[in-house]
Amino acid sequence: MSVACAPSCGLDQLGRRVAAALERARISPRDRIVVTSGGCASFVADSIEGAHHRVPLGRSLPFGLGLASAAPSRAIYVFLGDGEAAGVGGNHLIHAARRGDRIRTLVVNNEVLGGPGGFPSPTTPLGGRTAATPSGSTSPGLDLAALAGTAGAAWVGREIVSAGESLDALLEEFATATPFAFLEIVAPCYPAFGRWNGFASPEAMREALAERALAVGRLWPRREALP
Amino acid sequence: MKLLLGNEAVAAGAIAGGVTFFAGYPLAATSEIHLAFFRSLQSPGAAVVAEDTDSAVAAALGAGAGGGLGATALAGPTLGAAEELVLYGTDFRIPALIAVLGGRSDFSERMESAEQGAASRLRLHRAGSPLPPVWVPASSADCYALAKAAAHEAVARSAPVLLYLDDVIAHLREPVLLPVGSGDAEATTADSPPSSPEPVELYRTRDATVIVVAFGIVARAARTAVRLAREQGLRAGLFRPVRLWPFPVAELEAAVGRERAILVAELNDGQVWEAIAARGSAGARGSVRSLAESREGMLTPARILAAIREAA
Repeated sequence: MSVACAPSCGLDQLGRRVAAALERARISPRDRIVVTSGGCASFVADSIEGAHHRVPLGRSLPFGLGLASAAPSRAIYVFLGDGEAAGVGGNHLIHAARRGDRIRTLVVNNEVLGGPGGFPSPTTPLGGRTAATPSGSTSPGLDLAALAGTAGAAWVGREIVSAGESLDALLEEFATATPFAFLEIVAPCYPAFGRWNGFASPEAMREALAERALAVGRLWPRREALP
Repeated sequence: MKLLLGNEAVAAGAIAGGVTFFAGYPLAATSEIHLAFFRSLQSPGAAVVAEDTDSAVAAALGAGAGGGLGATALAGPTLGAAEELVLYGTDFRIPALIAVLGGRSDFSERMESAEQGAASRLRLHRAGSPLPPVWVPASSADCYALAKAAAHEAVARSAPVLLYLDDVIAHLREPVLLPVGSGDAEATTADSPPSSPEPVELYRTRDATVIVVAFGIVARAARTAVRLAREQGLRAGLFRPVRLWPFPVAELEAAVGRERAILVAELNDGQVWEAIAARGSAGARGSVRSLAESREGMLTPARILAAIREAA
């Protein structure tokens, strides 16, 4: 089972935005190492020049831990999907945040296991329908940014993929944020999630995502109390 | 000269061989390895308590990929998912040193008995990839020497190299001759690279009609059994694979001539016997027998001697 990808998820643009933010933050390709495994988040890394390790699914963060120790002059960026961040590598996220591993991790949260064709991920919201759960997910989704903050991350942010300039500003701050830094980017996956949940088009899904009451921007350390 | 547990000697040898980073999830069977690394690798973040075995192997590989040399220690049954990572390291040419202990789960019951139950699982197959080397020490001095050599080998081959310790070797306290000037396990500057260890140790095999194949602690019992057999006029010899995998087949074939019997003695259900018998080559003209013990926790010289007599 697989789904055809729709360009509307915005991950291609996200990759370019991350690359541009790294450039603005003056983190050159020689100064950084990128780690990914499976999942759509690894596409983001394809736009980023320089050393890139693609490791077995679930183990990007601990691999980054070893890298950070052996290559102290390099910045370590780990790109995860919600499946790896909250599922197969979920425990690693908790402990990387708790230990304060010298890693900055960007999670693309599309709220579905889209690669295998559409299964609920740990972040799929309550009632969210997928190919595997057409009558709706029966458990609430995990709030990844809140989890990272609770576990001890020094810097936590969240934004939607289509946020434009505010996303660029957040990405730039993330590029040099105090590790362990955690940035959640919420992105729509129309083929594996949107079309199962009553959205007429990828654009309609993206608009609905923009209207959803997500706390976005830099969440931690906080400048002011959240609404 | 120091008295070290096999586990402690592994850490000391690994550090002398150039290991710069250690990550592990401590279990009772491996805890002394972890402790020795924590005491020796003092720079911040150089020794980490990982959240599980997979993350420990992944972190060790990460250190190798970053230009250092990472190590980890795990118990045989936790090898499961970590196996994928070891093979990943082999395929992507990332050095690492991985010590594997015993064969049973880390239940506190029966901790006093030895086991070599992970032997066949450590033969990590993947079509098209070389088999990661697995070295098996039979003393604390061996633990030190082989860990050091394995660390060098990992860097030279740019690949994960494994050490396999049974529970007795891991927890036997024995003298180890450390290089002059090194403290407990603080020889951070690697002294001269050791020459590659011999993949086998032979004892009185030249004219033997029965060759005992044994590794780890069983090799020591077998050595005694061979000596006793000789005293009784039985022409026995010992073939100890120091490198368990890839199995030193050529060496075995050279040691075993015409009409000689092979007796494989091991603390499991006959895993290495199965691998040798399946090849059919070495023992084609003689017989390949198994003396496998997975319940009592030890093969004594007396039992091996009885099996030699039966095979002769």
